[in-house]
Amino acid sequence: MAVDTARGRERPPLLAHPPLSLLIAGTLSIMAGSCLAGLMLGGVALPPAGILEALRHEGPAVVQTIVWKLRIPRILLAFSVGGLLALSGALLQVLLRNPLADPYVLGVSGGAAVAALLSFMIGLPLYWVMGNAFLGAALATALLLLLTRLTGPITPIRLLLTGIIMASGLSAVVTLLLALSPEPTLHTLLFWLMGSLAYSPGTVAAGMGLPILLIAILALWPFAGELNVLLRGIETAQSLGVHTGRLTLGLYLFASLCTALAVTQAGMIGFVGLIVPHLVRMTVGADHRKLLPLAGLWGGSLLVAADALARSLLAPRELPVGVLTAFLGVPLFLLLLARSNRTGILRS
Amino acid sequence: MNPTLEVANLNLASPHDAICENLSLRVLPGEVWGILGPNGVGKSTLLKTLAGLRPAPAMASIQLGGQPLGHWPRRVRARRMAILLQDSEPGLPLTVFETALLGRHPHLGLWGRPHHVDLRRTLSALRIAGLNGQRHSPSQALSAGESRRLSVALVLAQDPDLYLLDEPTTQLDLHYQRRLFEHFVWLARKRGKAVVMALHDPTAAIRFTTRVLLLFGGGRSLMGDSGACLTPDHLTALYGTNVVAAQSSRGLVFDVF
Repeated sequence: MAVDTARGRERPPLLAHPPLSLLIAGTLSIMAGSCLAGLMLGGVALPPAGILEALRHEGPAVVQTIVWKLRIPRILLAFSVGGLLALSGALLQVLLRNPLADPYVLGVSGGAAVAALLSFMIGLPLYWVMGNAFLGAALATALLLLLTRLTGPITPIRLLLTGIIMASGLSAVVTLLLALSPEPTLHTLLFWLMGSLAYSPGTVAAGMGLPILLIAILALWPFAGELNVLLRGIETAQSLGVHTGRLTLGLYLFASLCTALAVTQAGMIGFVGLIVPHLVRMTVGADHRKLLPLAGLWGGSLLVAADALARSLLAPRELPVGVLTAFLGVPLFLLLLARSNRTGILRS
Repeated sequence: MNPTLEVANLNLASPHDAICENLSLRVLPGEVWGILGPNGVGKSTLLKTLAGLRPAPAMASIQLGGQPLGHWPRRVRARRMAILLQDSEPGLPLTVFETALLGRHPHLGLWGRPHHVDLRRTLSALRIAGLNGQRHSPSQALSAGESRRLSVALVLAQDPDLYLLDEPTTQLDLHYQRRLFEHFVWLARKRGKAVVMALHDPTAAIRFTTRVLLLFGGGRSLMGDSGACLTPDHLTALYGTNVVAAQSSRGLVFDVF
């Protein structure tokens, strides 16, 4: 009778019916704040005035280079990676109807990691590594769906279990490959695995990342209503006219694609995909018409901010951003778990 | 009058027993049907089959509004027919209002933007279910009975021609049991809707339904007017325990002897 004893202490989302203008203004200021932090913090701390100068292509050449060649590409990259992870976390949490689902749980990133490590070890150039990592992620997704289907019907809980098993199998392969890899590459590989935005080929991928994120958000938006219906379970969704088979298969693939793109660009960055959708739900509720775009944009902002901290906390040394997100994520998640008693967000 | 739902030659079986054999029935607008039978006899399976959530055997014919079930595009079908399932997943936290609004999903346009009529119907469904005051709370905050009423509100907001209801009043207090039964009867009589509901209470069945289908297990079934079918003898055979009837000021009351 947990429901009864918890009654009366339930809290609605902070802003159950926020005016659209407030949502937009709030999100824009979060984005602006994180980008400003991303520009200011780092190996060399830059004052806002110097950044403004450099943005107008004025002032010292070094500052201009730092801003245009290093920090802006990196902000773009971090934003797209964080956004894609949060988006795919939001999708997987509905698809598996499990609040603990996140992009790494299903072994998609494991597939990417194995493929990338193998490509590294046989000495392929960087863009091949990225391409293969993407292929590995796609193969892992296909294998996951296939294995789940071969052993029975595709249900959320069976997918989750198969995914967990596959993920641990693949992480064993990763460990094996690391043990076999030669000393000089080991350092690079480890950092990539820990999650870092530093070993990315930079501007090319960064320039593409943001449009990809925006396209992903726009492509998902028409399905927001059907995702809401899916919250009530497969059968109710079917009786409300949703083609659940088509929809869920498409969305699993879409979520894997987002994860694959993020993993190939930045390695294994945990917690963004888990935390951000819950943060959004706690603030504005679970309506996917609000949740999907906000998860994308807030996830991007969060990773930009985390990356700024990772670059500046122990400057000139740089921490793997995955460590930072974990440091932020663990207490945040525990807080959420404590709060969930009252909000029912994580109640099964 | 054209039947809302017409079933012919339906054979259904659960893994261990036949549910119905050669079942044929016509549900007309304005009729309220009750499906009664012991636990596990297959009432829910039958309702889900009628709703198209489970595949029907190839030789069976299930027609909704004069067209085979499978011929309806799914969204259009969802405007014609709604099913209240016995259990729905609680899901992640939509508010009470947002949850009831899901019932309007098949009526919404391409961009899923609810219109004035959708909001009005959702609000009136919540009022009938007695949840108007809680419409901004998270749906998980509701008690078991209130959650059940929310599921009913969702189906009411859907506003179909045919309501398939799997034990609509479980977990409801006496007031809401009566209130919702009376509302469905009103929908049938005044709005020409058809209602088919699985029930456990023969007293409610004889008071609120016009027709009943009794499922005895082993594929045996009996259907007809409620007053004629709901006799102590039939109910004794149905539940395997001695059922007696007593006359009250509001009609027959059944109890176990």
